[in-house]
Amino acid sequence: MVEARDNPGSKLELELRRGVLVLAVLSQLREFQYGYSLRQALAQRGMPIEEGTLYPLLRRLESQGVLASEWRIEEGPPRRYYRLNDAGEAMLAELTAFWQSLVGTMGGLLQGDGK
Amino acid sequence: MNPNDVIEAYVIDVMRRLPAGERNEIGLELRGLLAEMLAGRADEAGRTADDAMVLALLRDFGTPAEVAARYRPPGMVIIPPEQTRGFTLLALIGLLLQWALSLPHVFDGSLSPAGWWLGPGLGAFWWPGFMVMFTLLAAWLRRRGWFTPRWRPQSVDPERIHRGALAFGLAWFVIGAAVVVSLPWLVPHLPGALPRVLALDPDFLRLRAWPVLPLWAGSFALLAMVLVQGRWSPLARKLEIVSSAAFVALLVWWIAAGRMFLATPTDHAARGVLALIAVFIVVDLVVRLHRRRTRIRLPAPTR
Repeated sequence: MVEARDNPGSKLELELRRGVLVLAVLSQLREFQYGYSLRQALAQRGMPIEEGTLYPLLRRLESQGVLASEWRIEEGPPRRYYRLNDAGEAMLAELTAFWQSLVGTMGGLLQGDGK
Repeated sequence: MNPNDVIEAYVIDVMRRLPAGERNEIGLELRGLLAEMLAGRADEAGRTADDAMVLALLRDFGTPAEVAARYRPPGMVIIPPEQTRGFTLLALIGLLLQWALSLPHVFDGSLSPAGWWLGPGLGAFWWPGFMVMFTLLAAWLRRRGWFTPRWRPQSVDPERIHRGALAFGLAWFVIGAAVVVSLPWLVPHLPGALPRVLALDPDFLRLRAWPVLPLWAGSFALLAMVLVQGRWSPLARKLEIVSSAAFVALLVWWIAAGRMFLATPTDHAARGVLALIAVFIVVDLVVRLHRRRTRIRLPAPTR
């Protein structure tokens, strides 16, 4: 955090990362996942996210009606598993299309031929 | 200490700060998460979790207040960021003005420092409180959608005047000035105790009252000129600023130089009112001068 505050580049990187967080989380919830396993899945794919950010985000997405959740008691402590519902699937498809269009636009802009 | 007990105590501290409806679910989830994070750290360290490890984990995770804040949706904005500076300045100026007006009573011995602090000193905080209440009301109205400020092009030509409004204002100016000027003759004919209450000090009338007449006459001439021209010229604006400054100087002289009314309560009240008028003129002057500075300027040429 100190680094992000001191270095404007790091701060902007953080903002970019924050912007795609919802899409990254939704992309990993086609199957049931609980918070800790979801975090590990994201970290393994190069998208580390703090637990303190992930859990409230999951709850917010659920309250927005794009995630379904259920409690499971297996080994260890009770865990809340999350998964996309129908609205979530639709939103993921919509955001994915938008992301791909954005990547194309940005690619053009960064290569200097954005018209 | 058992690490699980420490986590439990921490989670309960977070839960106290959460909405009642979600408290238990979030607490349960948070406890499971922290237990798993602790187990992960213990695995990485290759030893069992101890007190130091659990405390370090919880410190990294944030204070219970910070954690609870992450679960709360963004609250209602009471003072929008772009208004914070103005709000703070206005609150401080109001507070300092009240203190500046009441502190002299400590120096002239009519009020002890403790008496001042417990009276006008602390009492001056009504102003920030008043501002906060109005800001709350405005925020609530904005939230309900009843008050959505929109920019209107009213200041595209701020120098143009509304002739009807100015003519109406000038008429009242003349009536008000006539009443005030004729007070020395009117007051003795008023009923009841009013002649005694409103009697003007003869020294004030003879020595200090007269400069208001040329000032008013000058202001009237200036406004009449603006009315005829239909707009404020740069010269008229400059004259207006000079006239306002002269009026403030006269008011300060009246307040400081001695009695205006023979009856002490009336005199005190009049000084208070004149001090307020002087403050309003100064604030208006400062705001106008500040606005004059805001112009779109061309950038300096670069080589």
